[in-house]
Amino acid sequence: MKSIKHIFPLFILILTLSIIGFIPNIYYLHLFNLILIYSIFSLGLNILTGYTGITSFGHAGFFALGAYATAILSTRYGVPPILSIFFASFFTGIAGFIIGLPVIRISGIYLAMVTLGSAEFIRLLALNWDSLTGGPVGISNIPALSIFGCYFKSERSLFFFLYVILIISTFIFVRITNSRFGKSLIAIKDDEQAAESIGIPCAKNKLISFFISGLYSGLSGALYAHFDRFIHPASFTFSLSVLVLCMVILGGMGTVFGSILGAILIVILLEYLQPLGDYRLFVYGMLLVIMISYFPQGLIGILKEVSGHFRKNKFIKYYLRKNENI
Amino acid sequence: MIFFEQIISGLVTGSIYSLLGLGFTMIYACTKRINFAHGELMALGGFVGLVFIEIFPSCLFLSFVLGPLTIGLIAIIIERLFLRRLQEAQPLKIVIATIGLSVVLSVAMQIIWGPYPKSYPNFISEKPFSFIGVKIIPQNLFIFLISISLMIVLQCFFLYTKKGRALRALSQDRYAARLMGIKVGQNISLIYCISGILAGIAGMFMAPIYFVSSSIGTFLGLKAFIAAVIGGLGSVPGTIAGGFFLGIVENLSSGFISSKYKSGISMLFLVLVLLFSPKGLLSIFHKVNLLKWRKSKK
Repeated sequence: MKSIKHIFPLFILILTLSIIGFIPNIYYLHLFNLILIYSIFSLGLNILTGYTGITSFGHAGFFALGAYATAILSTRYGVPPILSIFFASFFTGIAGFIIGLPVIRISGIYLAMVTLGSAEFIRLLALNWDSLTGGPVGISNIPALSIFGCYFKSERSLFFFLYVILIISTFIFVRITNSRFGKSLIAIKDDEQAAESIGIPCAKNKLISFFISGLYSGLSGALYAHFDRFIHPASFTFSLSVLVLCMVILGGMGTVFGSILGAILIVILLEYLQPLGDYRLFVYGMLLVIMISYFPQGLIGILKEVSGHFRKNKFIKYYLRKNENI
Repeated sequence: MIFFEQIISGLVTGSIYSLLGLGFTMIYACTKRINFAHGELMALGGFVGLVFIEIFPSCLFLSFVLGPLTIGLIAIIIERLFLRRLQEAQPLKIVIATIGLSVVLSVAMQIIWGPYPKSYPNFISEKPFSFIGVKIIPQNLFIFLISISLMIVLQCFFLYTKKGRALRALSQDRYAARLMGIKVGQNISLIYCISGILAGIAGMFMAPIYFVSSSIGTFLGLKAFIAAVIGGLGSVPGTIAGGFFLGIVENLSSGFISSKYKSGISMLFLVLVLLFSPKGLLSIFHKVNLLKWRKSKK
């Protein structure tokens, strides 16, 4: 029985890969690629907001840093994209560490303001440093992803590549959050003083979680740059930060599958509300307010309640119980 | 002379920042929560004021009274409908909720009044007169004087009236205040109403300078919040000082360095102040015992 439980997630992964990967409609594949990129992004925010309990309103800044780093490296200096992505991700991680440095002294809403301010500063830099970032025009003709000479130019091949990246990063994420370090982050979120008193180095662990968050957000930004192949400062505004916060809260803070679920729902909403134009934000705002005031546990929390009514469904219960421990 | 003119225009933007920042500060002092939908209330104040000016074109004073009062009413409604439910929630949750609310409000304004900025009639002539060689626009002088007098009235209200004393007690300890017979819910509504009225006035003041648009609320609200934090969140004189300080610094930096990084500089100030003196700039005076010295002399 236990071996089935271990094979089950693998089975689901391969099933979704084979179903989605061979959908004939390119448009749907494009949507799934966006979902994969935003999943990594919301995982990056989740480790800060869901686990360590630090709310960031500036993750668009990390996303922009990753995108610009890889774009500049691969267009100006001819670095192969696969290398520049990892460099950009690491660079954003370091930047996240530096932006997170005030965490030693301040917390809560003030820290959220620092992240917001830094994101705004990064956007201003991208807008005004013409010689490096191309100013308001942005950077175009970013090369497509390639490994050893084989290019991922079509949406379908890119889908497989992104899928593999998402699985690897989710796996690492689960390992991190289930480790001693991940548990200590949850302890910090629940009660910082109590965590400090049992010997958890709070400031250090918070800084590391900032680093990991920057790593994930930078990775997703870099992937986005090579996916869209054109970036400009107007796409990294405050509304992107709200969007990713929406994903994390909608799915459920502090759960791995919650943030992926949130990314799926938000991207689908984003596409189906396209005719509304800018008024889409109205729906997001309402979603944020209603979710926070009525269902603070997110969709995973709602699922948990529903599964209480249908006790016979053992698989759902097993996964939900597993999430409960996280 | 350009220097002085920059300072005067800094005082005008500073008075708008202060009026807005006072809303943040009062709500923070009484409920320990931050209402990020406050900037949107200001933009709404601009639009509602415009509606009243179109209804009563002859009597500007009437629209200056009715517009802010409407915003005060809207602030009470928002507090009763959404924010009171979250009274006991984590502080960050209410921040996220109010940011959601601000997005909703700004899109609602965009739906009602359209995406393009609207121009505003001038209250007084825009013809500048010169005073010891410095050119002053009468409208700016009007804005500055009215805001300063409003702030003085507010401070007197907090210091010398019974209601103001009740509000100060509420900000010190909510449960003790409730034990003393102060109605907590009612007084929090009152605070939201006052901050809404101030936001409405700020909205009508900023309209001739920045034009009214649905996106101005987030931008100015953030600046006002930075001003409040720089001066010291929770203290009324601190917030006023912070607002004027930020306004002057921004205008001087855009005049003498570059206007491109204007909002970047205010962000930089925010980070620096938070790092070195998280309770605001006014607390530095306490640190060097400037104020304590006077007390000990008594």
